[in-house]
Amino acid sequence: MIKDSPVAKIVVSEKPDDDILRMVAEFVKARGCYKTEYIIDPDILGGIIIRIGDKVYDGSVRSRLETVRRAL
Amino acid sequence: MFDFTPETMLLSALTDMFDQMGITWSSIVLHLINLVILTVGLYLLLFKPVKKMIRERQEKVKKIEKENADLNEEVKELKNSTQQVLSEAKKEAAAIHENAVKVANQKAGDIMGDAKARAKALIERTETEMDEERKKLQSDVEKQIADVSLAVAEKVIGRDISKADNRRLIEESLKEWSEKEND
Repeated sequence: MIKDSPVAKIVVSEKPDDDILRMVAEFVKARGCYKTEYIIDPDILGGIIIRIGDKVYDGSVRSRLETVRRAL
Repeated sequence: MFDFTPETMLLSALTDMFDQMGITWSSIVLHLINLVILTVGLYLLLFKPVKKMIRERQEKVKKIEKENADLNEEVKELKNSTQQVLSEAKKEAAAIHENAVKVANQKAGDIMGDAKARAKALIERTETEMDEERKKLQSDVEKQIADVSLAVAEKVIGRDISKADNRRLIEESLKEWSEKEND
């Protein structure tokens, strides 16, 4: 079952500490995902983006700024 | 016995004078008869034809006069008719002129109205275009201001965001998503 689980792709702006890794692992496990793949992308400025299959959780600073820009 | 009245004396004098001239009473009577015959002859041969000719000429003159009068009347009628025609032509010309002026005025009014309507439409269109251009410009300026502001914000945030801030952001995001899905 773990072997067949989808890979959660996680984008962060800098290398996460252990607490973050644990919290993220719990979050993705709760959604049936046991594998993670981290990508360091400073362009997101901060926050986190988690993609599990088709589902995308975007909590990056860049997306928040985009929201603000659209609102303006 | 002798009668010496003036008439007999005049008769006697005339007789004497006729005798001296060789004229007798019988020749006088004959001359009178000749005169009568000549008169009758002249009357029949000359007077009647001349009279007839004169009458004919008079009739002809009368006829000519009548024709002349008729012609005069006709000329008068023609003159009146011409005057009437001229008068009617003048009236018609005046009516045509008046109508032409009316039509020209109407056309001028139409042209003026059309020009005014076009000018109004042009002004309205120009105002609308200017308004749209102004709004577009305003929108562009606002967009540019927003873009510049966000670019500045990105730079500031990218430079100033601390590890703690980043951690807090991640924690908040995870918590928010969990709560949303639980709801």
